[in-house]
Amino acid sequence: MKLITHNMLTSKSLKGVNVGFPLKICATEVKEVAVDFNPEFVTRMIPKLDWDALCQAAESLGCLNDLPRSVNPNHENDEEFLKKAHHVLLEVEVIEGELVCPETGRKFPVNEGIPNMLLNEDEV
Amino acid sequence: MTTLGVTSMTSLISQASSVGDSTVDLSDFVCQEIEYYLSHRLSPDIARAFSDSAAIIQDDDDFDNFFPPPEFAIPSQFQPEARVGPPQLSQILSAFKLWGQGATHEDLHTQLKQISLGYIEPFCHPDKSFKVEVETFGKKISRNDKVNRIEDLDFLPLRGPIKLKDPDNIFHLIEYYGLDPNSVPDNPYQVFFGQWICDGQRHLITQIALKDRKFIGNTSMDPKLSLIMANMAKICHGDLVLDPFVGSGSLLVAAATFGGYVCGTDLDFLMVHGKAKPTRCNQKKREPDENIRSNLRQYGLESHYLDVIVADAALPVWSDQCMFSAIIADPPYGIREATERIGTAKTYTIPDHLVSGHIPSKVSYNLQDIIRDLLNFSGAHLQVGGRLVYWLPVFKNDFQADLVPAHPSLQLISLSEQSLNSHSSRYLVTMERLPENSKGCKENQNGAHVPEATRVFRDKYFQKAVERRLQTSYPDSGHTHIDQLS
Repeated sequence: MKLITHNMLTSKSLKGVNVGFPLKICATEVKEVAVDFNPEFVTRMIPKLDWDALCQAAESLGCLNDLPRSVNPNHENDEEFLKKAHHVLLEVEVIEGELVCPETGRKFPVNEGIPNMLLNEDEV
Repeated sequence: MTTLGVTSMTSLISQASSVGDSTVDLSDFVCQEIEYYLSHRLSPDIARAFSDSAAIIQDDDDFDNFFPPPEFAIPSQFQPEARVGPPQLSQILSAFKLWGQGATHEDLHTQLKQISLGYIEPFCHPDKSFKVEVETFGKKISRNDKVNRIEDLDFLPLRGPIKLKDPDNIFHLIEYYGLDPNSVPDNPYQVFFGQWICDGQRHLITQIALKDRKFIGNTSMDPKLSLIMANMAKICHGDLVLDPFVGSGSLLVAAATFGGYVCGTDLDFLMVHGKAKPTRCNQKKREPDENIRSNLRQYGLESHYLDVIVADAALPVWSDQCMFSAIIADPPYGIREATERIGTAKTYTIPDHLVSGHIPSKVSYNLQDIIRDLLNFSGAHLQVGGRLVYWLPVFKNDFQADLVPAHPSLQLISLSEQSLNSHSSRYLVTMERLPENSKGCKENQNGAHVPEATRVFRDKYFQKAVERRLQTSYPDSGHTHIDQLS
């Protein structure tokens, strides 16, 4: 699971959960994989992201490095910034671990890089 | 909106005939399509690839009697200077700016002689090299004949040098001899002359063929159809694309081919993990690296892979602010893939010590509910102007164009029928997200309306299958047996 996906995932399908965001990451295996840098895509994604949640997630995985805590208003032209965002969004992957609902503590496993967000039948 | 069905065919014929009779408007285009696929060959959408404001003229099987060419004219505001067409034209062989057309070469020549010089002057300039190619459809002609055809066009005021390799302008003379190989006429039915604009991306179809694809499933989408879907969804470089019924990810391959960044969800844990029962003949078990990601890797598109998630389409996991550029889906119809969601008819709580490793039970998820949830989800999670493209199975007798599922925030763009068998079809439905402030938007987020016919599709489909089996086994007795059955 990449952090861009984590930034869009919630546990709001659980009964009684309204927001369910951001999910806490408890990772046992994290991998970094190179992905072609596409400034256009990163620029388009940034306004759609919850930047604080991204920083938190990156920090919890120890890969925040020097990613700014807030988005530079002129980020479209700041290639260095876009490259850092690209790295955190697309190149850091949680391979094994758990995603934890911030409201209920329900855990969703991540195996082989794929989160399993399925609920059990008594939860729907 | 362009809704095309049998009903609109008459008006299309009259439109087309009027083009055939009158002098051709110079803003017309001709596209050569590869072959018949969907019933109306998706021509309106090809036209849209050129220009959103294009009015469409298209032909159909019945229509071949009136106006046979496989090409069709697209009056559009597309500018001839734009030589390179959109990359999505995978179902087009080539596109030409139409200069003239006629039932005979004489008609064509008369028309070409009437073209206003002002219009063609930029292409006739002495500095502009050119070449003319002769193409025939439905018949082969000799090289000499081709040369003669070109010589006959000598009257055209093309003053530039002839250059066979990499000329500034390429002109095509296209002769159409019909589709019946057993009765090829001496003279073509139609002759076209036009300036070549661009070639389609036909090679994409073979490039992502299922035959060589690493990971496929039972219902992997045909590459041509998945490219058409990606085309209809207007997927461009840098788009965020979701397939909520991802399966083996064939739609994601097409979406990524057009530059989309793709993610998908599916209820089927084994499928998403690439561990489902193999589909290929003689394959006992899946390779360890058989999965959606390896498919994208195979085509050099791994950088466009975001994630796949095991999730129930009935209970979306995406945050409210998460907006997709496009949503493409081939929802299960309950025919070859089960329609399921998490749930149970009983009330109980799973004891804590059994929760870990529990496989959730599933209940039937009716097609009507699937489509309603898909539309409501798309209404909430498509960015303005973003498109939802999905397949809607229908029982032919039940289907009318005004019974298409609707949503207040989504505008129907087009419907294309693909016939599955004598009683059922599926329609490729394209819808576009309306701007926030438009009427009915927002306050009606869950306002999807899906006709009742969708609910009963599966039952009718199988009832029909039973009927046919009985008719084959007891041809004389016919319906009496069915009455007994039901």
